[in-house]
Parts: sequence; C-alpha cells; structure tokens
Amino acid sequence: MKKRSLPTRKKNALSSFLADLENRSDFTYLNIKKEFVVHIGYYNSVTDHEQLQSKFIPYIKHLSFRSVQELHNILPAGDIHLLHDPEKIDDLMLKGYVMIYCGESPEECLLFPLPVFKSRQISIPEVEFSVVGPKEAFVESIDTNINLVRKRIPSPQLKFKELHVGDLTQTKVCVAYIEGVTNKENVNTVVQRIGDIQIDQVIDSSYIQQIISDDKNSPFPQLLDTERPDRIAAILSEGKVAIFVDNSPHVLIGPTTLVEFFSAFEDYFLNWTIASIFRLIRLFAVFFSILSTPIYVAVLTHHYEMIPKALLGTLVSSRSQVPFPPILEAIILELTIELLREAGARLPTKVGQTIGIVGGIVIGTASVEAGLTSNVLLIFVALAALASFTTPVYKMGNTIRLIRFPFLITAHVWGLLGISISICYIMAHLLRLKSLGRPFLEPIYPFRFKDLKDAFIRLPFSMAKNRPLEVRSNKPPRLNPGEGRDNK
Amino acid sequence: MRVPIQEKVSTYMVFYLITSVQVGVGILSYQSQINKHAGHDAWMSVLIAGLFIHITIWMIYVVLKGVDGDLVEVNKQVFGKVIGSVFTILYMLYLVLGATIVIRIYIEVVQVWMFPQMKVWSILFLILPLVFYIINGSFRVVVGICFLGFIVPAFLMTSFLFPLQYSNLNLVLPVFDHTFQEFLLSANEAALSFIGISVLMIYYPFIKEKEQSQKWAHFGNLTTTFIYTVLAIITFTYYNQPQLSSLKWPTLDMWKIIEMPFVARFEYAGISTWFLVILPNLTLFLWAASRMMYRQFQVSQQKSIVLFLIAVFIGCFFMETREELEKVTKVFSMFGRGILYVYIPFIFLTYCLLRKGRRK
Repeated sequence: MKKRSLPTRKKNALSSFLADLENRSDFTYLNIKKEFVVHIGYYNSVTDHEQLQSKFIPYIKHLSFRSVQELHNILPAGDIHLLHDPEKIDDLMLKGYVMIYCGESPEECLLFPLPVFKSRQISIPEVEFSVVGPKEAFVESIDTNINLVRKRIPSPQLKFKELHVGDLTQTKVCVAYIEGVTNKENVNTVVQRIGDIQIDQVIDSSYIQQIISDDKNSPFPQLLDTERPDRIAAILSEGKVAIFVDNSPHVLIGPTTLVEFFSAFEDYFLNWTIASIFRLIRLFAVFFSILSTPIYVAVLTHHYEMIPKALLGTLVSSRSQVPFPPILEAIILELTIELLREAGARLPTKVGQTIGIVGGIVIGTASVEAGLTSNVLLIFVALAALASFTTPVYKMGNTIRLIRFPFLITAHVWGLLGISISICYIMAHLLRLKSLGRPFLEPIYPFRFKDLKDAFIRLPFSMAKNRPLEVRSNKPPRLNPGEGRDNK
Repeated sequence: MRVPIQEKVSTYMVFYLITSVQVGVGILSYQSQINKHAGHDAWMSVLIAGLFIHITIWMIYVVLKGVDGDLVEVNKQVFGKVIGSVFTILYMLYLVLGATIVIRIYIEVVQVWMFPQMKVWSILFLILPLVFYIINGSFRVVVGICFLGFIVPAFLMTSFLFPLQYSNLNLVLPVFDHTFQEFLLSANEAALSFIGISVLMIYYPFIKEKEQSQKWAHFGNLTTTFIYTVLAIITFTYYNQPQLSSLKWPTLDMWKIIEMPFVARFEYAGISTWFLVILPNLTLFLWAASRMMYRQFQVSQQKSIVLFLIAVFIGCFFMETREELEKVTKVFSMFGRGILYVYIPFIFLTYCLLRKGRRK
C-alpha cells in the first residue's frame, strides 16, 4: 500500500516527537489494551477527562482492530484525522483532540476530538442592564455566543465568515451578516481590515475595535460594542455587520453612528413615546455633562455680568468663602469625581459602595464646609457626573467625561468664546470621523430625514418599514411584500 | 476635470452653502449701513438687493451649466488662458482677503464687546488650526460645517423676537417715503451682505446633480433675504433713525435687552455662538481659494491652505486699528461690487455671445 512506503525520515520525526511528548507536564499517556499495544495521548488541560474515561476508553477496548487505519474506518464519528506530520498532530491535540496510535513506532496517528470548554455560564447583562426585555448576555466562548444569536435568527441567510487573527493566539474571529440584506461592501471592508491585522495577540474584541477603527487617534469609539445577543440580532436584521471574537464577551457592531451610542437597547422594549422622551433626556444629559462646568467657569471668570440679579446673591454667598479661582475649583472637583469613579471601578462591589458614600457625602460636604469649593459648583459637578453615566455605552461615557477637560481650559482662557470654538473642534472632528467608511454623524450630516425615525426619537415600529439608509442595505424594505400578511 | 463621487455633496446642500456664506459678520451691523439713503424704508432695499442676487444666481447658473466646469474653466473660455488666469488670481486674492476681513471683524466685535484686552493673535492661534483641520478633511467636511453652522445657531433667530415687545410700528411708517434713487442706493449698500454667493462658481462641480441645484440656490437666497428683511424691520421698529445711525452693531445692541431667569446680558452668549456662523464663511472662502490654486497651478490644497492661513494671520496684523480695518473693508466691498455688477454680468454676456457665435 501507498501509506506503508513512507520515508523513514518522517517516521523518525514522528517517533522522536512522540518520545518528546512524555516530557510535557500536562500531557498524559495511557496504554489501554493488554494483548496489543494501543497508546492514547492527550493534553489533560484541554481534553474532556470524564468523557474519555467513562465512555471513550471502554468503547475502544471493546472494538477489535489491528491498526489505526482499521480503527479509522470503524469509529462512528466525523472529524477524525489520520496524520503523520508532528506539527499538525500537536496543533490538533492543543485544541483538545485525543491521539491514538498502535505499536511503539507508528507511521500514523489517529486524532479524535474530545475537547473541553471551560466557560462561564450565560448570565444577565451587567454593563447594559435593562429592566424589561431579555436577560441573556454574551460569554467568553464564541460558540456559545454564536449559538445565542443563531437561535434568535434561525435563518440560513445568517452567515458567519471565520478568520484567525494573532500570530500567537490564533484567535477565532467571526464576521456575521445576513446575506441579501447586508451590503457586501460593509462585509468586505470588515473582512479585509481584520485580514490585514498584524499583531501577535488578540485578547479581547476591543483589540480588534482599536485596530480596525477608521481613525485610531480619535477619542470617540467608532464601533459599538455590546454584550446583548438581542441587540446583535436586531442590528443584524437592520443590515449591519457584527464581529464576534473568541474569548470576548463583547461583540462589535459596525457601521455605527454617533446617535446610536446614546440609544439604550431598552428603548425598543418601551412604548415609543416613553422611549423617545428617555432618549431626548439622555441627549440633554450629554450636553449638560460636557458644558455645565465649563460654562460655570467661563461665566464666573469672564462674564459675571451675565448672572441675573436674583441669582447673583446665591452665587456670591456660596463663593465668598472660596479662596480659589473658578477654574481651580472646578478642576479639583472634577478630578475628585474621576478619582472616585476610578477607585470604584477597580474595587469589589461592596467596597465600591463604601467609596461612593465616603466620596459623595463625606468629601462633598466637608469640602463645602471647609470653604474649599462652592456648593453651587458641587451641584453642577455632581449632576454632570450623574448625567455622564446615563450614556448607555460605557466607552462613549468615558469619552464624554474626558472631553470636558479641554473645554474647561478653553473656558478659563477665552470664556464663552473658547467653549464655542471647542464645540466647533468637536463638530469638525465628528464630521471627519467615519465608521467603516460610512459617515459617523449620519443622520444629522449627511442629513437623512428618513433615518431620523430612529435617532433622537424612536418612532413606532409601524413607521420603521425600511432599514436605515445609513447601512446601504441590499434590501431596504424590512418585509417582503405580502410576507407579513401570511402570518395572520 | 472630474470630481470623484465620494467627494460630491447632496444637491440640496447648496441651500446651506448659499445661506451660510451670506449670513456672516454683515448681519450684526448692516442695519445702520443700509439706512443711510432710504431711511426707515431701507428694509425694502433689502428686498431689491435680494431680487438682484436672484438674477445674479440665474446668470451664474446659465454660464456654469453651459461650461460645465468651475470659475477657472469659465475664465479660460471667456478671457483666454493668460487674461483668464489673471482674473482667477484676482478672485483668489478676493477670497483670501474676504476670509481675513471676516475673521478680523469678528475679532473686533469680540474685542469691543467681550474682551477689550484680548490680543488678535491669541484667538487666531485657536481658530486657524481649526480652519486647517476642517479644510484638510475634504469638501464634505466643509459643507458639513456650513450645514451645522446654519442649523446649530438657528435658535438665535428666536432671540430677535425679544425686541418686538418694545417695538413701535409707527417708526417704519409711512412707507415709500423716499425716492427710487434712494432705494437703489440703499440696495447697493444692502447688496454687500449678500456677496458671498459667487463662491458657487467654484464648488459647482462638487454637487451631485448640478443642474437641479439651481432651485436650492434660489431658495437659499430667498431665505437669507427673508431673514435680512425681517431683522431690518425689527430693528427699524425698535430704534428711531437718528439713534440707529449712531450705532455700529445694532443687532448686538438689541441682544442687550434680553433677560431670562438664568441669563442676563445675552450678547455674550450670542457673540460666542456667532462663531459658528462665522466659521462656514472662513472655511468656505479659504477652501475655494485653495481649490482655485489647485486648479490653476496644480498646487496641492494642503500646501496652499497653509499658505493662505499664514496670509490671513499676517493680514490681521495689517488691520490693527479700526481705521485700517475700515479702509480695507472699503476696498473689499469695492472688489465685491465689481464682481457683482461688472464681472459676473460681463462673463454672462460674453458667454451668451460666444454661444450664439458657436451656434452660427
């Protein structure tokens, strides 16, 4: 037979590889048949022990075979490989395959898949919690994550394109889209950008997010990340692209727009009137959070004439004891809030609560009583911090909080004019930003009236008959003509 | 000369391009300029000027549709290569001068009303990098700024309603109290507020459906005319004529009376926000100038913007005092009138003659 005539060099390579395996600490060798030498080898860290011991080995013991080729024909399973290349064998074993060979110096080894996945149980979403609606969140295992989406869209059109990124980690990345709905151009952009990645390790989806973003220096995230499978299902059917990364509980969405970062997914579970008002409140919170402290600084430093008479008394009485100029006062307080947030974020929940009490109540009250800050500013800063936490996407919330600082400085130097010029800078930056090559500020600019139905407000589902123009879907109407009626 | 499709902007954006370039620093002070001749009837002169601009827009479109190119192309066809390039350079200078004056007048307003001690360069250091950042993006970003520069400060329009509670309609009565000549002279002054539109001849190839954009241009001009007319009537019913003539910035003076529970002295907020109105002027003028530089001499836009921004920076220092600024502004308005009354009609007539000649 052809397989028998292997060069001895290869045979030696395999033998020395097999001998070398014994030296690896997490590798196990078993010899299972008495009358005839059958070796089983596996990495115990990635292989399913229980299955192996209780089912696989007893089953093999009862089979009668003389060589691995015979065994290959008998075993009732797919995904079995007969290999002689040590590298390939090692590769598969590291992915949880069990190696079987007969005799002391075999020509080929049989590899049987028995991998074990240690992963977290599916739990409730913690970052994007919602009171109503589904309570499942993604976990670290990509197969579980894909399963969570597949069961929501049981359609053959839902396609996954698999890629491997990272020289060292070989992380599995899946680009998901719905064929016939998603614009092929978007999928190709994503696939091409991921394919071009040159990196040794991908630990989380945020690595991919940073690398494939259109503008890597921008403080604004240009791809949305979510831990909600329901949100992924919704955006896939809108015609967007989702990027799953193995070992990451966050799935990326693109192309996105700025407005999308301020829409909580819960908006879709509430009545449209209520949801719209919540959205507007959230948008107001963004502006309030960015502008309130800078305006305070600008007005008190340069434009105190702007304060109406009635308000002046309150301000004077609260600031008369404060020895610092408004900018110093504001920066101290803003930094305190940031410190509290940072401390709270790195601590266990229970200690975090204590930090909140210490920071919010003790430091706040004490600093006002000590006359270090005015209580009017304290109210502003606390409200602004509160407002910044209403941003549903964590990464955007960070951006909102940090772009306040340049505003503070320009407000101190150039007053209100500095603030309006800073706004222009942000505007220009947002106008230049793109998400997967699509304008980031859509539907404001380019102005698309039809996409306003799900931007600042959310109109009822009956108004959303078409997919957003932004994604340039191949099939804009959400329903085929007549399709909706069949279900009646 | 082809403009790639991803560089092009939607047709209706012409509306914002027209309005944003017409509304600038002029609107802060035009009321005390136009009333020199026609007095309290001058608001009708605004209408006359608006009508005249409509005719100009029509002429521009006739020429551009025929030539299917921009101003550089038009100059080449009408004047020949050499003289055409002279006109191109002159127009380029006009644009850079325009940008310099706009920014300098705005800084003057800031100096007079907000920060008397502020140095010109200090604020230029903040504004010019922004202008570079915008123009360096692409034409779409410039148009985006024009769009947002119209939408975002639009709320300021409501602030012009506050003076109405003190207005006296008798101040604009009787109507038609001046001679036709006086009306025209005032219209001549009012026309200065509208002169930015000629930039249309440079961004024309960047519009998706060029031919269909004409209605948007007219609509944009109509909107500006409406704003200018209404604001003129509000001003004329609020001030009496002698008082108005003594004011330099009547619009800002009207803001002073606005008082809300949380804000007094509204003009501080108003002037700051007005920067959003000034910015489109600046960026569009300088973008157009750099575009012409590229078309005429193949200098990359990035390089020429840096050159122009340095020119603007130095130019602002040559207009240190109020008198110097007014002198330069006078030259600029002559320039502008020349373009409006001579240059564009001349191009139009020559083009029509050329076309007739070609047909024969």
